[in-house]
Amino acid sequence: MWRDAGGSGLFPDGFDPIYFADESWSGRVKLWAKAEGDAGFSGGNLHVVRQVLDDPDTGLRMVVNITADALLSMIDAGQYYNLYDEPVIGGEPRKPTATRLQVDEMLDVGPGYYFGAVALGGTGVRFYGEYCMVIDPRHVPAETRLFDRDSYDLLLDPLADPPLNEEQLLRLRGRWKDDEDDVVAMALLRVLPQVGQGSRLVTSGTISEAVLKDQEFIEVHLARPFGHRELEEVRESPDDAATELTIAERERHGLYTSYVEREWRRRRARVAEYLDEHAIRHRIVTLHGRGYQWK
Amino acid sequence: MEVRRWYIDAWAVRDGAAFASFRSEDTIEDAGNTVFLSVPALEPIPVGRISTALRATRGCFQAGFHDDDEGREVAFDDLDQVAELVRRGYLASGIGPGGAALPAWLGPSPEDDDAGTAAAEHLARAVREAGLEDGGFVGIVRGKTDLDELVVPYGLIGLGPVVQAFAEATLIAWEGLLARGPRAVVDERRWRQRHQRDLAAWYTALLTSGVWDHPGQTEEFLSTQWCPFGHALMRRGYAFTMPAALPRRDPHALLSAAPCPRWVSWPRQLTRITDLVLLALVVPDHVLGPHSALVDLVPALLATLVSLPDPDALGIPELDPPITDERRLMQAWEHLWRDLPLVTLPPVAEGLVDRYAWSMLDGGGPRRPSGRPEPYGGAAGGVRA
Repeated sequence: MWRDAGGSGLFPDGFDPIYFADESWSGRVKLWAKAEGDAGFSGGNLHVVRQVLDDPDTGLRMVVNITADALLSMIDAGQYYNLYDEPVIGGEPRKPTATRLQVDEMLDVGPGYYFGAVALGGTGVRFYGEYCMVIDPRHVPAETRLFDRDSYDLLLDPLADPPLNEEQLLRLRGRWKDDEDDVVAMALLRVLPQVGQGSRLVTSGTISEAVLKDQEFIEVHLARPFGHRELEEVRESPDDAATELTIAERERHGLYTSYVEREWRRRRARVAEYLDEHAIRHRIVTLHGRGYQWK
Repeated sequence: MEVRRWYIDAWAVRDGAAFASFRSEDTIEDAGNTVFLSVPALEPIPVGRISTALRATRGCFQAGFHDDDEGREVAFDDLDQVAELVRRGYLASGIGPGGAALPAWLGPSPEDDDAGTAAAEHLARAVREAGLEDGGFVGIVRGKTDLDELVVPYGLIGLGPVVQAFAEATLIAWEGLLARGPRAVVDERRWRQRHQRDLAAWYTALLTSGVWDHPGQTEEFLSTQWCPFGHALMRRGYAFTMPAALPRRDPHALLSAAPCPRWVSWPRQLTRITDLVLLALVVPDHVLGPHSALVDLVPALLATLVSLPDPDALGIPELDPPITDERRLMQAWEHLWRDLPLVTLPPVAEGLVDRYAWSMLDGGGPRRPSGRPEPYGGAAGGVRA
């Protein structure tokens, strides 16, 4: 619950006045600290969260989820591509829909941009692929653009009608790092309201979960290509590993497994083999990049 | 007023994942429920908002699913149909030389050389002896009951020796391929190592799944066919009565490497056993149509027999029932029918998936992600979203 918001009226009523205030992200963090008070646990948590997010070795990263076949293709091609050239099955739509054009125009992105999410450990957005590629932070320049949410949310209310103007959009955007702001400030504003404020200090697992929760994330628009050589590692969820083992156990006991299950196992084994052949680090992690035994 | 049905929002065909929404055609404004489905479970998971689905097209998901003629979105009655579409797309993507996640070192298909001809003749002889040359189905197969009526009384038991001969024919073809060497410019030493490793494991898989009733039958096969690698395995002391001593690999993975012997009515483009198995699991007419034959089920039966072990087996060929045993065949059949394409898709979707499967067999796949990082311009001249 925000107090003493001091919003600018840039966004309509019902939008959180601190989060949507007419300030830089760092300025909004200060507003939050002022509203919450910077003594006791609130101040302590602000310090802890900032420290965890900002650590160069274990802090925030750009991640891109990818499916098994696309990952193999990327390694073959040496470069990641965003989109299929044409549908694999079926024809073209009757006409190009305006939705994507609309979103890209609002964000001023076009050819040459690659989309990812900000994460602190974890395995990214599973829906977009079971493999989570972590981009080497040295390959993410300071001027890399950020958007504080899934850009396609711009198509849905309450952001769609009336559509956001340029000034409002600017307040939802950011850069990985510039003179005034950085990704840490943006992430702080996402994390702080979600952690316990008055009674205890938070730990990195809680922070990790708050940075990227389900399919809610800070979107990264990387303006340079990357390939498998620019990866820090590839992460997987323990859920998929457990599913794989369960299928193998059922097979071993002569119980029914579907052809799809067996084929899924085979393709995953091929990916593991390929990652190994190309010396790409490949781990099963939970929150904050911990091995799953530490959850 | 528009009628709401299920439509595909985004689909990673080769990876078996899709988003679908209950909405009107060509709009997101009235989207009710949006779900995500992916292999292996293919259970619909609600995602809450359609924007999650649309954003997937920024990655490796194709945008929507449209017919070829008018570019209209293909509608589905329920999520069972959507799951079946995703399942068939995933399996079809494993067909042919561009199949998903295939080992890079795979050799060429069986040729019309001595080994290829010998393999084909070996299979043909067994089919003739089983009286299955004209074993075409009559009627339309709509479900398990129809299948049982067609398959069980007329031929499942009769198929046992044909399954055995098919398995032996794969060995003959693979031995020929290994002796001939690689056609393409590759690291021949590595190519040979991989083939030897997998052929040895294939011998193991066939032995442990009971392709031969007893060691004498194995020796008879090896002595009547040109199988130098099989002989070498025996000479090296790998007693065929102790198959556990032989190298093991996941039998399902070996199906993607094992060459497929030819049969007169099978497509010439076949390269590996999986091509035939996957056609059976994806294209209804291939095994369930009026022109299908019992023999068309043989590769899928063998795949089931080697992939799913007999839970009662001791691992001793002399004591375990062979694959020609009625109980083993029935057990495999009870597993196999559940994988056949018995869920009916909308006719447009059926046609498009069938065409995709056959195009994969012809080497049409894979469609790689675009060379362009963003969907501007291109052959379609526009943006898909």
